Amino acid sequence: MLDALPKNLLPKSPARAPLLEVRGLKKAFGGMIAIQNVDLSIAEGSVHAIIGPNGAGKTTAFNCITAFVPPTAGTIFLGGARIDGLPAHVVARHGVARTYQNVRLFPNMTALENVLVGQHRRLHTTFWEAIIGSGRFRREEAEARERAREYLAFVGIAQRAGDLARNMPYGDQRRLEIARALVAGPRILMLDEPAAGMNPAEGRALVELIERIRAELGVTVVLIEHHMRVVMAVAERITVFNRGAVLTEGPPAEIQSDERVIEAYLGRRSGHVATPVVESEPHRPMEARIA
Amino acid sequence: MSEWLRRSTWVDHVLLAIRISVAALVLVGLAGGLTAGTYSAADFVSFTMFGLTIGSVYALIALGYTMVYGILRMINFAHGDVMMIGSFAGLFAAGALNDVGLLSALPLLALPLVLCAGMAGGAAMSLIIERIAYRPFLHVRSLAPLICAIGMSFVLQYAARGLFGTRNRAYPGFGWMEGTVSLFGLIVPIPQIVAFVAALIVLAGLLALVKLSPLGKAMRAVAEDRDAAALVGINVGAVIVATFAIGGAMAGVAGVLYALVFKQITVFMGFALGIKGFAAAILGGIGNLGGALLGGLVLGLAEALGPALILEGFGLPAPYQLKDVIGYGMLVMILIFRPQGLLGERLASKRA
Amino acid sequence: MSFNAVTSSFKVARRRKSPLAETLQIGALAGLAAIGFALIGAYVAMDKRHVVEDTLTLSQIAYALMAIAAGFVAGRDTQGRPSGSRIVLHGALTGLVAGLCVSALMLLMASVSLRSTLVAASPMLTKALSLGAPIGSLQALAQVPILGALLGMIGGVFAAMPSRYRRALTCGFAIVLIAGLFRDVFVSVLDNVPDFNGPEAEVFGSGGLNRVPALVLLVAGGIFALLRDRWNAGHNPARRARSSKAGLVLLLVGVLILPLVTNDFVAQVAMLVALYMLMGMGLNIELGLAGLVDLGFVAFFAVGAYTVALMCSSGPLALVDVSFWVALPVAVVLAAGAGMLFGLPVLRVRGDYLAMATLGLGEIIRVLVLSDALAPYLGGSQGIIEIDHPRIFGVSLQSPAALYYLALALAGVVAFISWRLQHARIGRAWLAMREDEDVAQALGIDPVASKLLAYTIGAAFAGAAGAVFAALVGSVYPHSFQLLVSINVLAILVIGGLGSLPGVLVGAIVLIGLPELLREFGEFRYLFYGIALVAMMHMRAEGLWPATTRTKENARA
Repeated sequence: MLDALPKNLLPKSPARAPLLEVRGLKKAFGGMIAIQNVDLSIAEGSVHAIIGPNGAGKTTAFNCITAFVPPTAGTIFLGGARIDGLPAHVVARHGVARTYQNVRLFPNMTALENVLVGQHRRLHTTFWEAIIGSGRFRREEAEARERAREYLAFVGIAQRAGDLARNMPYGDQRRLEIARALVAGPRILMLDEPAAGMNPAEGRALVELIERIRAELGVTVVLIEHHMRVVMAVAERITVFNRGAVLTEGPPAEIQSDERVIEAYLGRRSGHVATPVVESEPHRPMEARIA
Repeated sequence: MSEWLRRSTWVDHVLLAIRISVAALVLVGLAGGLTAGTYSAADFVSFTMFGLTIGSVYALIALGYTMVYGILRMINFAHGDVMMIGSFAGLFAAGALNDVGLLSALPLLALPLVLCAGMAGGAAMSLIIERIAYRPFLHVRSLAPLICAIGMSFVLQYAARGLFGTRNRAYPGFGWMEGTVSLFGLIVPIPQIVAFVAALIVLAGLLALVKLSPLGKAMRAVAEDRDAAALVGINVGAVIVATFAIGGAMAGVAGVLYALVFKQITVFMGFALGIKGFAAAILGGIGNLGGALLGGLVLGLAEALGPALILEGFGLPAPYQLKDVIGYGMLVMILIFRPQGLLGERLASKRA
Repeated sequence: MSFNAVTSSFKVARRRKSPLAETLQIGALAGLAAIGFALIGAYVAMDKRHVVEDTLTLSQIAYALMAIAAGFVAGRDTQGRPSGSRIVLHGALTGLVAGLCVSALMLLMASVSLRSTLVAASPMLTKALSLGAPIGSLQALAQVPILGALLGMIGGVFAAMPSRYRRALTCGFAIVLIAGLFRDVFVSVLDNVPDFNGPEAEVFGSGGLNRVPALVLLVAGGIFALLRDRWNAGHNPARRARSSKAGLVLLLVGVLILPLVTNDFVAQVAMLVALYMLMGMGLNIELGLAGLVDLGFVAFFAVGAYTVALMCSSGPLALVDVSFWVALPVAVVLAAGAGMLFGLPVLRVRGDYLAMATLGLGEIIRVLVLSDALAPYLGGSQGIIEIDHPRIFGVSLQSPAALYYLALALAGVVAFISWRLQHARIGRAWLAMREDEDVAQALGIDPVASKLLAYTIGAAFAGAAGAVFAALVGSVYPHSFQLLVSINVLAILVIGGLGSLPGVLVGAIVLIGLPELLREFGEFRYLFYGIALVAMMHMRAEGLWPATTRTKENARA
């Protein structure tokens, strides 16, 4: 069933230097071990997908990398600099940006303001300059607004600049979240289920957006995703998580045919588990997830 | 060390500097206080006795903060005033019992009755606060409950002031409980012993309730995960109400015991005692019932011994005027040195 | 906002009772409120203030309003049912029940002495509640429920009438109330108008309005409201928005010339309002923008005040004797430094710890200042006196009006700074932190640093206010620096609207100005603040003058 997917459009070049290097990552909540012995290596300039059944620890790994939660053990290097154990804002300054599984915007701020906040570390005027309203401050504010509009246009929601984030449609909220993450100028963008709740057309637009993020902005993308169609369309490499550990890793073609992956998704006795819906009829939302 | 240097930010460096200077200050004071020799060993023992008594009152107040925090992740700002109301309820019960002569004749029977009145007053007030300040905002993440509770605190203080007047109200005497007793050659006021023992009994009862009863089980479940508890059929609203009621009852007991030791109460006493109860709660580790007891006793001891041990060392005149500075200062110190409290927060921080 | 959604869902969830039971419940609630009002001593205190000379006192108006409001609520809840007479009946019933509650209280007070427990249950209260009838007589007991029923009925009628007339009546009544309550202000203004000696004696009596002018004002107010309604109906919203902008300009002009046209007492009150505005702007950065509930604000106020006291006093405790303009920056810097030092440990931990921890801080400072240990330096409870007044170009600013303008000018500067910061990188960071701290941090915002900056700026503004306070009053005492100062400022912000600069102005006028002018009110001020805080959070969480500037600005952008 999996080999019925559209062919990957991207040129593959697996021999690039790793940008993100995770070794022996472990996270325990009290006595419950969420992940352990996780090794990840994300090549610079690649699009890397992380898949796995629910509860496999994908989001926990994301949270550890972005210092949302402190890892229990393990090391994380970004471009050669060690970032594990640093506070989240310092990790962000190293060039890590992310989105969230359940969209987390600043609901009472406008789209434009959300993107302006995303530029926090690109702006440099001091407190005093802001008070006296120096020329540099004005210039920088104007540039920041200009850039904010550019990024809103980049993700395709330029017309929503003045809307409050909480009033926007769900799909636009997801795009805004990506714009807010991108505008900081990250080296690596981590997307947590960007296609969740999207219909097939929106899914295709997302695939195209991710392509452009990589090609035009040169940002490495890591995404957690359940929609195999999206994953197979954009990812150069796929890491499969299962039960808090890495099951396997490889290029999409290899993963598609890996017995262990199919077993992890479907279970040994596949009778009671939902079968993966990959080629769904056009109107069916892509929400239908694998297991 | 190099690991610490890698991880730390400027905040950690400044905090380290603050910690070192505060510790140095305390050590200098301690050294001075121990060598000054103003007080005899017997003085220190009686300070300790007093510290344990007031500490047990703090512990009872701290329980209310800790229980509500454990369940709602919010601080009941008006909790100190709940204690004040409980204390007044106890005062009126004691007055009535005094009129029929029961108070001086059978203090051992009268005290539990007065305590019950205090508990009822505190619990009722706590329920009103829950209804007005917390329940309407249960599903909203905002400052509203905190600001409502601050408002309620002022409503209670100033309504009580209008109702009961501004002057101090004296508790009637509890018969033989007024005297002193000689213990190991030390003269100890009986009310201190009674208050300490009563506090321990009530605390033990509460711990048993939380550990053994179905209600306690439900409370622990809600504290762990509110949504999951609701899913398995626990009436979360009822558990929250029960938690406020129990916390208020504990505050009522604290109010009566405080009056037993200090003889006088005012409508404004909830403010200072409320902060100290809160300090005790976070000292022990907020959300942790055993921690509330430990925190209360440590705070009481620090307040009783601190002026003699530390402030005296700096040669300050009238160090006992600064007793409250030690109490409030402890609150700041905990935040500087160990924000998770002595026993740590019961629940590991869970995000994502 | 989401507040409303929650409260309304509660209403839906509540099981509908029968209309009669609901009416009785509303009446009982109003009766309880009336009993509470009497027993906290408010009735007797406010009975001394005549709004309409020899006819209506403030406490009678308060009781009447309770009955009318209960009747209105009961009437509104039964609306949707066909008959208008039914609405009026329900209104009358609530008023009757409320009145019976009060009568029961009178009966209770006549038969047992409550005074040993409840200090306000005095013979004076019984006398005042009897409205001139013999105490304990049947007439005294019966007239309150009858009056209550009448007033409740009026409330019911009020609920049933078209909103246009309702607005007109409310407006007329509000004008009478304002004129009666602020008699002193109006008389002082009229006194200042030269060659104008006649009318004020006709309009105002010794305590409030005279009867005929009261009636005239009521009618005039009603007509004005009707005309305004008609005018508004004929114009588009843009024009109406412009007229509300005109309202703001009018308010500002009034604020600017007020002390010139009235007496020194009013100028002094205005000065206090300006001072609290200054503090409000400071706390607005902490609470309104960054969401930090700081109750230790008064500590930094005290740092500023004592700095100026020690630097500008000609008394024995002064360290140096320099000009106020030298001491002011020093005070600001010291207050900011104190804020930074204290903020760092406190701001690392959970948000609502902050309220408690800062409460402790405020008390530490007060106890320290009062203590014998620091008395040789700070004067203990004697305070520091003989602080020089500030001078501008050799002119000493001594009159309340001059000092008012000084405070107002500083408030203006602070308002400008807050406005600028709000629209810069740091202001956006504060707002983002308030919305979702974790996400803000993941975008590279250092949470401790930005909170600390907000806290430090707030402390600096409080220090400036303290400095002005010391110069205004000419002396500082520890008792000026109680927790209540912090609560005042907090209430100003909440009532005015969190994060809103005009809200600070409105809040300061309502919460500081009015109670100073209504002395009878003074004793119940904090009770009123507490009720206002709770009510505001339940009914209008965004405040009287909400912060809407952000959305407007971006609609334009």
